[in-house]
Amino acid sequence: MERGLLSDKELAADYDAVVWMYLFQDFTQSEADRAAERVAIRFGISSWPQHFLVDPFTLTKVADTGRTLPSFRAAVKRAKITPGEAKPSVADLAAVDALAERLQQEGDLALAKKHLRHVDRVVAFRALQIVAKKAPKDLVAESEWLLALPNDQIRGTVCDILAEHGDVEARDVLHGLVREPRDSENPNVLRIRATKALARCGDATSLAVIEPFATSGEYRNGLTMVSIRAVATIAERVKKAKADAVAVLAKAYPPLPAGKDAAEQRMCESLAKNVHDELGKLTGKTVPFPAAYTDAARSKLMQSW
Amino acid sequence: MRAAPVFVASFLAALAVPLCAQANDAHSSKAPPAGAPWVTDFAAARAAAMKANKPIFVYSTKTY
Repeated sequence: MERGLLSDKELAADYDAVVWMYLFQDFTQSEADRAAERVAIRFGISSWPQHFLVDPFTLTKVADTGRTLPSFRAAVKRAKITPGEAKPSVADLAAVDALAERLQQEGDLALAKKHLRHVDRVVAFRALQIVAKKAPKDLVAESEWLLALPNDQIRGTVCDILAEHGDVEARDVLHGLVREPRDSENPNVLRIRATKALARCGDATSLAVIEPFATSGEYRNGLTMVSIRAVATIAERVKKAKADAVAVLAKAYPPLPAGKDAAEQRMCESLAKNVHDELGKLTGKTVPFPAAYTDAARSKLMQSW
Repeated sequence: MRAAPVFVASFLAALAVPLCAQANDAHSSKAPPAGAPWVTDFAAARAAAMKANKPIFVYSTKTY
C-alpha cells in the first residue's frame, strides 16, 4: 500500500474523487483507539490493512480499491453511492456510537443482554463481548443466530466461546461456517476459529467437514494444524469417531515442497511430525518417524496406522 | 573481542526491524500517510462525503 497506491505521485489527481478516511488502531484502548475500533467493527475489519469505499448515505461497502492506482481508479469508477436520506441518520449513528461506548465503559451484564440483538452491529458486538466475558454459557444458547450474522468479529467471538463452553447443539451451524464462511473479510481466520469450536462441539459427522483442511498439506497455513488437532480432539471424545479420525490423520502427512528450500522443508517436516504425534497419541502405537522425510517415507507412514 | 557477538546480534536486530516493516507494506503510524487530505474522525468524513456526494475511502491499518 505504501509503496503502491499511496506513494504514486499521480494519485494527487484523485484527491477530490473521494473523502480520505484514515483509520488507525494501536490497541491502547485510548479514546481515539476505541473510536477507531468501533468503525472497524462496523465494517467487519479483523485483518489489516484494509482499503475500501463506503457509501456515506447507507454505510455499506461499495468496492475494494486494491493497492494500486489503476485498481483504485477502477473501484472509484464502479462505486455507486445513493444520495438521499442517510440511513442511519447522523443523529442515530451518534446515538448508537454513544451506546456502544457506554456498554464498553460500564460493562453492565443486564444492559448487555438487553442489547445483544440490537440492530446496530457495533452495539450488538459490544454487548456480545460483555455477555461472553460475564455469562458465556448464556451466549452458547444464542449461538445459532449469532453465527449467521455477516460480521467476523461477532462470529469469531461466538466461536471462541463455543470452543470453551459449547456443546453438540452448535455442531451443524459450525459445519456450515467451516465449509463456507460466507460474507467474511478473512475467511481463513474465521475458519480457524470455527474449527477450534468444532473440536469441542463436533462429533463423528464433523470429520468429513474438517478433513479437506486437515489433509491440505498447507504447512504454512495455521488452519491445517488447527484442523489436525480438531480431528484428534473429536476422536478422543467420541469413541466411534476414532477409526475415521485415524484414517483422516494418516492422509494429513503433507507432500514435500517442490523446491529444495531448506526452510520450506523444515516447515513441511514439522507438520508431518505433528501429524505423527497425534496419530501416536490416538492409537497408542509406536511408529518410528524416519530420519529423512521423503516421498517414499511419507507413503510408508501413511500406510503405518 | 567478547563484545563481537553482542554487536552482531544488535546489528541483525536493527536490520530485522526495517526488513519486517518492508515485508508488510502497510502504513503503521498514528499520523496518516503523507499526501492525501486524510480525515481521522469518521463522523466528519461521513458528513463531508454526504455533502459532496462522494464515497469515503477507508484505509484501515494498525500498529505492527
